[in-house]
Amino acid sequence: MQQQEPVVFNNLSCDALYQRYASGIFAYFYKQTASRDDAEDLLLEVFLAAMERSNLANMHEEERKAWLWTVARNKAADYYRRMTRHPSVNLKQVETSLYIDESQEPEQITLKHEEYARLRSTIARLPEQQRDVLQLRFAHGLSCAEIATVLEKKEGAVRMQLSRALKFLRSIYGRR
Amino acid sequence: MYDDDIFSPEQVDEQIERLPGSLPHEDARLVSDLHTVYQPLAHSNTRSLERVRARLAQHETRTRLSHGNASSIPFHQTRQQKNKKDRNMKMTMTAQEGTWQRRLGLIAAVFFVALLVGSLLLAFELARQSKNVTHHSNAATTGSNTGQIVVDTSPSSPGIYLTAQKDRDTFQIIKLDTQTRKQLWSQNIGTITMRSTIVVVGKTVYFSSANADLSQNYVYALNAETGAVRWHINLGNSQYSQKELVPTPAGGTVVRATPSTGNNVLSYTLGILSTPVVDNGVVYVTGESGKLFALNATDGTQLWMYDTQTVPIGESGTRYDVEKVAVDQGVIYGSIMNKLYAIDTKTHRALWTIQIDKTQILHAPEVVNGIVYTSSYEQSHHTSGASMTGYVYAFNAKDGTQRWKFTAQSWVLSSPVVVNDIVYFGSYDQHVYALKANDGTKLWSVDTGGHVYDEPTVSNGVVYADETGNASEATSTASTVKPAMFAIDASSGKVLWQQNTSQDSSIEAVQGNVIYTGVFPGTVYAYDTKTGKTLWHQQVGTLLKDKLGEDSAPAPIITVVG
Repeated sequence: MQQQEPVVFNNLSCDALYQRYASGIFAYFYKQTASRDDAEDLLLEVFLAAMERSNLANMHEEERKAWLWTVARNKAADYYRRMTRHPSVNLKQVETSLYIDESQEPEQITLKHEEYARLRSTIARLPEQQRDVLQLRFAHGLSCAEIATVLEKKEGAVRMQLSRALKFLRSIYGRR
Repeated sequence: MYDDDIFSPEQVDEQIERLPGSLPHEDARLVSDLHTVYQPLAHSNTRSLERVRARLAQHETRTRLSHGNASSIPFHQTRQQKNKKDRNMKMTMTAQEGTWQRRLGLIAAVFFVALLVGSLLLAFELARQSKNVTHHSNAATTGSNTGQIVVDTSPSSPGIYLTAQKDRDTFQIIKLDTQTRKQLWSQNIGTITMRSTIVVVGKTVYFSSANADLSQNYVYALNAETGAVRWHINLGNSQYSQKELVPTPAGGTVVRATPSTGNNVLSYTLGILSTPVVDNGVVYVTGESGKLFALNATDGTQLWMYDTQTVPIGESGTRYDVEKVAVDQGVIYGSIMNKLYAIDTKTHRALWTIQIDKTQILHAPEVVNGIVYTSSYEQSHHTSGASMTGYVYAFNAKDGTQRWKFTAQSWVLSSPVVVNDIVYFGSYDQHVYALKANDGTKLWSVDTGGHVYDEPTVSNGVVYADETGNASEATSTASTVKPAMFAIDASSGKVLWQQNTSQDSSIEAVQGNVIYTGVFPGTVYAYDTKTGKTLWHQQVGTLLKDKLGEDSAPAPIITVVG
């Protein structure tokens, strides 16, 4: 195969791609790896691949998106394989302790105000899927369509989960 | 809005993003609180994305150097992002890269030193004028006029100016012909949160916008004839985290204004800007940082800044809107939280500052004949059963002394409007009121049957107001009335006509014989001012559909110049 010179793919398009898809792909990696550092590394790998992919600029938007997500899922699969061969942490445990890890970050704020505490405890009582959707919506700023891609679910199902979660949370604001 | 529609699966994305305009107050608060609760994690995520971006930039710089293309801009920044983001990125790169980066810096320095020396005087001049402003080649009055204040006295360029969405990530400002409604131009603004209305002064269109994480908060000036960007300036943001949450004996917490101990601290990114106000060639805009900025309307350079030392964060952590200022006779009148202030445009110093009851949040003031009119509503306490007081005030512009205060039966959620010595306003108490401007006595009130959120529009002796139904947060009852628009005789308070609005809409402008409303999704509805009948409706921007085939374009923000 002919060795191609690394082509720095159209700057504007690459920047636009990053703006459009990096949040979603990062959220996906963060959920998959439960490690911020690992998620950042994987995200970097995906976009380095994008920068060196010379024909990406010629693709339609949907094709570009599909390509990026294919790379992302392959990277995650590679990561899993590495983790399986060199298990340093139990993924299940990491997954469930994610919330606690976040609260240990130096910049993390423990919101002890009565209302926020009530909101947080109510969130904690939600089913896991609804908590995931809330976090992806509010902490990662993803739309339902993007969340659906991250969670590999149908958008309608995500909308339903988010709707249910918000309607339940309304109850603590004097509604039922 | 009907209760069933709130956070329905079909509209949930749209309702979260359009905070707070499309939601009842309590639901808007839930969304705001969720943003606050998740804000620390969101910050961490933003920083992660910035770190990766910086690493990509490094990689690209290395690649270009290795291929003899050192002068290229690393990992292109969009025009909107360039200023602040670029600085952040460079800082991150420097911190991470160490020796290699320093060597790169030396090489770059050799390349640029000649250029820097040669253009030293020019650089000083630019630095003096602004660190953030971006001019565009098609700007009409930059260049020789830079730094000079030029008052545009030409008649405002007629047309229908509105926001539209081009695609999911790109807002546009669009201008339509007033008569034919044909599109005259459009300008893409990128991924933004638009909280400002569109202001047209002479041949320029002004508005403010923010990106999603509030890292870039811009004031824009477009050429009203062509839509070309004359200038835009990033006024930055600030972090607010100096309030400590202190447990109370009763088991709750209060916020204490003490320096952070590192624990129990509320943190906010403060960046949202108010609607710009243009007076005598100067653009005045306030920010969540509590600062008032004065910009040269010609080229966007910052002339001066005043810090109110107040941020719009409530005692229980609720985030409130930033309000636009009013300018009259060389004095700027502004409000933030419970503070009302007057600033001399010449000395840039406060003439007076007053504070009303600290439970109240003031709206934007209006100044007419030496009197400052404004209104307020009670802060959220995040507890059920909180009282919902609301007031309208008149203060002497000269010294801030109160002339009168009117008590509504509930929140007053928008500014009053003063026309022909009558003060008009709407309230959450389901009424539109008219008060005598000189003493605040009630002339009339109209029971609309539904909560009134927006300020009324008064045109040709008629008050136009809209209500949004009467759903009750307290009792969790659904609305029994449809959203409707009212035309009320401004003198007598007689209802001239009442028109149900099929969807949650708001009156955006009244011009000539036409009432313009912005309606979800992405549609302008025009009504006859005489009858309330629909004249026409028009889709603007792209008819966006989500994967379920549901419409998702937000209601447009509209300004009409006749």
